[in-house]
Amino acid sequence: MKTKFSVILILFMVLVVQISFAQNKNVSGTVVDDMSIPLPGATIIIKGSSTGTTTDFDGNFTIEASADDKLLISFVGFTTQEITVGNSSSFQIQMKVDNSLDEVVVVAFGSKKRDELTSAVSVVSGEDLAKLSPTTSVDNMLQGIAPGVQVVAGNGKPGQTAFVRIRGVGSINASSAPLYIIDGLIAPNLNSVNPIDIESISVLKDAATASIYGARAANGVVIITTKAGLKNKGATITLSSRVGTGQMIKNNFRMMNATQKIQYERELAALGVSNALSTPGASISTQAEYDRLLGRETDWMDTLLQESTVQSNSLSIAGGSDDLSYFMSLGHDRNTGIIKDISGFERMNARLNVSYQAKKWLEVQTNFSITSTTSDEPRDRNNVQNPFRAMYDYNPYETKYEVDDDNNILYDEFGQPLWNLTGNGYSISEAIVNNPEDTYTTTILGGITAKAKITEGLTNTFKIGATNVRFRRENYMKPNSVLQGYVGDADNPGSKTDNGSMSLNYVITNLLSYNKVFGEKHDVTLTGLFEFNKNTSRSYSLSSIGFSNPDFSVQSVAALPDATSTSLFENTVLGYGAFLDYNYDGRYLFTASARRDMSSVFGENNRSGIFTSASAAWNITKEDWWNFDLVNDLKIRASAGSSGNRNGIGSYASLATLGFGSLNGQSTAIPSDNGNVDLGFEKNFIFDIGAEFTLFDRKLRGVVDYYERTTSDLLLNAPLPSQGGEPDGSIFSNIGEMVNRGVEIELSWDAISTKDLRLTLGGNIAFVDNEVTKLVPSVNNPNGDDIIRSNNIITVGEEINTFYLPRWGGVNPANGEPLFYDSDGNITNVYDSDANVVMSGKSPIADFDGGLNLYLYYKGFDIATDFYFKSGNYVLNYMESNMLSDGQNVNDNQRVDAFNYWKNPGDTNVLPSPLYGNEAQQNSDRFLQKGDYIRLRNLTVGYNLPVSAIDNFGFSTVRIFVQGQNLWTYAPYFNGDPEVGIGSGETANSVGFGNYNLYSYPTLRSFSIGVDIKF
Amino acid sequence: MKIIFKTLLFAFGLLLVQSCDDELVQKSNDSLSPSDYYTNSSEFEFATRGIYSAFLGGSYYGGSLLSLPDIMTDNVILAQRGRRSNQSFHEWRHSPNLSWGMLYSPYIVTNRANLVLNNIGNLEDGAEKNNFIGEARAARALALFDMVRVYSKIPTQNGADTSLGLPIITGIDPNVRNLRPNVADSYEFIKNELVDAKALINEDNGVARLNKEVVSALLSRVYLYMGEYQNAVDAANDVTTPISTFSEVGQVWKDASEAGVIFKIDQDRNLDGISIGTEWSQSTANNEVVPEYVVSFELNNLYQNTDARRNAYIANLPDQDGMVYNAIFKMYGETGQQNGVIDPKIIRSAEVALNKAEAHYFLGQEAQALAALDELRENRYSDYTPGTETGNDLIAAIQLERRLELFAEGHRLFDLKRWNLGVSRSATDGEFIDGTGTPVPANFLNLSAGSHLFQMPIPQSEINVFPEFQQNPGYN
Repeated sequence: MKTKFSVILILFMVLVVQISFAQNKNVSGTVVDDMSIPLPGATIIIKGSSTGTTTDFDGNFTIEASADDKLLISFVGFTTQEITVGNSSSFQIQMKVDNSLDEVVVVAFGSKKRDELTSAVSVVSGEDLAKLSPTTSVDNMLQGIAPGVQVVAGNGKPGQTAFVRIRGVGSINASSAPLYIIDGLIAPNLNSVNPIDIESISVLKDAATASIYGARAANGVVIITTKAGLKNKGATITLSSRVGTGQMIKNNFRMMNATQKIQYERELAALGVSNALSTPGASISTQAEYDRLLGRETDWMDTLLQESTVQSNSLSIAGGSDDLSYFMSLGHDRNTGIIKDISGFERMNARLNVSYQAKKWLEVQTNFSITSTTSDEPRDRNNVQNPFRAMYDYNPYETKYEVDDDNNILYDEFGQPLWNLTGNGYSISEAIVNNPEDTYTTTILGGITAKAKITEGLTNTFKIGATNVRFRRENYMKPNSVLQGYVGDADNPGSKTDNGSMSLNYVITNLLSYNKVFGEKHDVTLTGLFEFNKNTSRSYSLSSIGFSNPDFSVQSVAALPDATSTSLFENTVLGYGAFLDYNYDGRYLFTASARRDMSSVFGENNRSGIFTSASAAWNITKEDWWNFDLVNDLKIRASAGSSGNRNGIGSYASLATLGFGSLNGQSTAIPSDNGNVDLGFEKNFIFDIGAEFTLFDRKLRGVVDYYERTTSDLLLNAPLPSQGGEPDGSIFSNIGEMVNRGVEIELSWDAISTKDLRLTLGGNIAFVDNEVTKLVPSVNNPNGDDIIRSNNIITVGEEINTFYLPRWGGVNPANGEPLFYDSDGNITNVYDSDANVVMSGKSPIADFDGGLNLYLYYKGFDIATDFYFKSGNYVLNYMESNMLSDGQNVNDNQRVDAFNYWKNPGDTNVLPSPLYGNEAQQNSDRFLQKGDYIRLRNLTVGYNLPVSAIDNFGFSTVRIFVQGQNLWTYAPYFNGDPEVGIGSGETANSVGFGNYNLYSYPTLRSFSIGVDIKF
Repeated sequence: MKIIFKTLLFAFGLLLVQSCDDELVQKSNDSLSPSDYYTNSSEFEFATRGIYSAFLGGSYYGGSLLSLPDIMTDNVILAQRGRRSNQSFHEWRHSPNLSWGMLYSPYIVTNRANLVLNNIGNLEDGAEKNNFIGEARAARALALFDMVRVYSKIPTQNGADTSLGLPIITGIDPNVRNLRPNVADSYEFIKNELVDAKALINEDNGVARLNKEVVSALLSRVYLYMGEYQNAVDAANDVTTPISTFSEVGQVWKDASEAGVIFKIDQDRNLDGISIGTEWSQSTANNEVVPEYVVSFELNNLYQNTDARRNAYIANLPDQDGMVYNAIFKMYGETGQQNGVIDPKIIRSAEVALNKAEAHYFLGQEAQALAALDELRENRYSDYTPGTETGNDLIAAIQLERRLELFAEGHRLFDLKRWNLGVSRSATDGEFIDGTGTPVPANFLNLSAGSHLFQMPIPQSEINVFPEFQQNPGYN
């Protein structure tokens, strides 16, 4: 392969043509705003190049250009203007207030003006992102900003990435995550880019733009473009610094204190609840014992949690000379998180983007970034090893350390306090110290692009890019730890696991593009694409037992290595494409594309997929006959097209395999899968119609879209009877089909826009309706058999992962007994685990979500707020079920409202009598709650120091601000944090996310102050 | 000029296409195609070891098959402070949706054995080849036997022969969909496979593999289940492994001795680490337990103080609150360990002696029956004196000794079933050492003899993918 590439490069270099260019001259001018006030800092670029400059304090600029050149003049909040240099050498340019349809939008392999777009693309600018917290991953920032892009935070852990779903859920067993492209490179997730480096984010939602990415684009594409410097412009240095603090968002319920818990235990014991009989509260026989327990009052949240410290600092330098422009940045983020005694999350980034005009006809560009993160990982599982479970479970009369009868702390022979193992048999405080787990990730993204103008209109772009992710995890169970006693090897105490992975994903792309304008109005671009992608992923895992000293965790000191493993996976995709763009006078727009992709992961009988699309748009307001002044711009557009999904499918899923294992240390040969030679791409087809408009002097702007997205050939495990001995019990095949339909609306209104006072209100909302239409057919169900994933079901005619549970029938007011519905729908006191029903309309998927935002500017001060809302999703509130356990978990702390149980005949609106705790706590929809909420995600108050005040110090901008995040939440039906993503990190969840809460890292509320300085 | 361009670009494109097309075929780095394997004796050796590793499945000898047959009977009681694992089986609330999924692992054993047999033609004829055939055929016979005792009636039960057995699979098609034959056909296959294997297999392959001794021992059990008592006696007489002695009993359950073990799956404590003991309890370094089930007070009292098994099988261990239990110590861990990792024993010579005693009894040969029983008893009791039982006392003694000896090894449910007995639990005994604590709820005290609940329901997931597959009576 290597030698062939060098040959290719040499060939590429041979494609050299000398093209003469016109003579240059100096052009100068002044840029003023709509009120003729000079605009400092406006950008002037020569169209089609990256040569440019900015205006000075008086709005003046000078630039070298030829008569044929066109100048693009832009400034935030104003429409970009284009002027032809011609014979003039001096210009007075008056800017007009922004019109969103002129915005430049980055799309697949290029960019277009908003009014040239024929498909649904949502754009988020770097300025929008700058308003949000820098230590959150970029995907979290997209929440509520782009309609149709549903973002559910994984959890509140610093550095945690989010679940992003564009236009609904697109797969059952493959991945439903979108394709992330950063500067043309495939990125593993969005944690690998520093938010301050981002120039813009484009979300390609329909097939017309996404199908250009072919077999990877079925779940939409998120394209991130990072910042670039401008040619012929002195260095701009930007410093950003912020510091803040965070804590868990407030619960909308209360846990019992010691007095209450003791009373609860005594009440239940008096009732005769067997679990309660031996509780400490129930065992009290004297006042002294009671006082002793009360004296141990411990607030476990205070004991285990802290206020987090958040710091973020970054520095960037951008600029350029005659033929070179650059952008470089460094960033450092730290977030301790809220767990005491661990150091949380740290991230360092560096980036270098350079563009060099090597020849008049050849531009070479490189983008390079490196991101390194370190994270202390608390256990995220549903047991006593998880601090977020412990803080609710540990009783308020239990102490962190062992105490004697006088409540004095007990010490071991070394003077260390003895850990109290609590009623759970475990000390989480001890585990945090003695069972540390850390992860380290380094992500390198790098690419080189060479763009050659071969002749007028013919451009060849060649690109090689690679993404390298190195992940390392260390998990140490110290030899003296409590956990060692439970799970360790007594002869060889202590255990250490080092595991990790290294992945390399490289892409070679060649684009040959021809553009010509026929008869002045017919603008045609034809592009050919070749792309090759290879993904290599290696992993290792090593563990040893027998550590003599708790301070040393390297495995060289271990007595006995007990497990090692490495793996290697490789897969490839090869694609060809042809794309056509046609634009008639800016009024009629048309695109078409076709792409063929082949991937090694699919069966030899079904290796390739062809993906096509077409779209059209009509800029009605550009027609000569249009004379309705109320409507300034109106474009209607329609698109349809297909794309594929191969994400999340194992490299060798189609092959019949026989693997190797061991038994008693000796090799075994074990058939591992029978494979499927017909395995192919999941196919996605989207039809979209939309309208974009501006009204009332462009004060009101909006976009409306309706789409239908059909995903077919969904990969499903068609289960086989056990008798065939299929190793994994099923055959992975292209069977299912699913439809997502939706409406997206986005509006923005400049309520006030004067020089000193500006008020903009905006909002968006996206409705989505998912329906499964086909599953694995069987004799009984020709449309397909249900797939049951514990409490959720995938069944034809319903939303994917609709809840599937026996129904709770309330509490019998006569005796406090729990009631259920039987399979015939009758109320009964006999629980039947087989009486599950499909809870139509109740699934973890929201019916709609969206955002509301407000921006107010007054004389240098600005206030920005963002709200996010979501409705219609359901969550199984397992945490509530544990905290209101009807006496089942009386050994653990309970919520205060657990007292509200049935006591007397006629009691209503009560919990069941604890005498029936076992019956009441059986699996049902009792704790299935609607997850609706609205949250104030962000409130920022900032002040830009006046130019007069900072000019003397050489600064061009100084901005100070205070910011609060997740300050307020309203969840009418849900007890606890309604933003449920990862239910429990270490518990397998085939549904994916959002179906239950189970003590994952809570969402944080944070405050920070910051300063941004430019000079 | 333009022509040169086009030519160059075309050449450029061709080169890329050529170089990348080869890359579209990627092969796994950790596995082979099964069609390229099974070519020489060392590959058959690895594949045969793969058969044994499948016995360690969690629903099979890696857990449930050793625990559920006791959990469902009078041998153990639920510890209220445990995690209540398997409570629905303890309380006979099993149903197609809440079943014991034991079809998967035994059919994996079968598939691995069938792959060996399907390819055995690649080996030259001779003892080595015969031994591989013998091991594979005995393994799939054992797998089917284990499944039919869980899901089907046992031939000694009324009407068993014509009731539903389980499919006999001898091919390698993963899509096979066979309906259930009857119990008589299933047992006929098991018996014939074992008889044939006995003629082919090596005299000795070690206790961790099937061999002639193991096959004879298994035959004594299979014939006993079939009610073919003379054959059971004959098969038992072919077994030569001595019964573990009084002093060896405890060592066997620490994996410090293989005395009396005829066949077990030998696992490495660290590399395999299948913790069969966690079916009963988890424990801390200072021997505090989180018990799931403990020895029922009634059974506990049946172990005499002079019985070697008293201390080998049961330990008085506290939980962290100091509540003390008659904890199950048999699978507690190797010497000095408490992680529950112990080699699952599949058949021992003590059982063979009991099989023989019972078979003799039912043949009316009481003297031989007593002799076989005493053979075991003299190795268990420090105050052993030869027994004198006759008639009903003798069969009761054999049944008692079987319960005591094979406790927590997955026999009790099947023994009650084939004796046409029900389960009867104490209404008053609790889980603590002195019999206090929470008794079994009143609904779950008695399971009548012949109840359909003795046959596990076919898991609904099997019926879902193969609707014609017959469910057991009583579960629809």
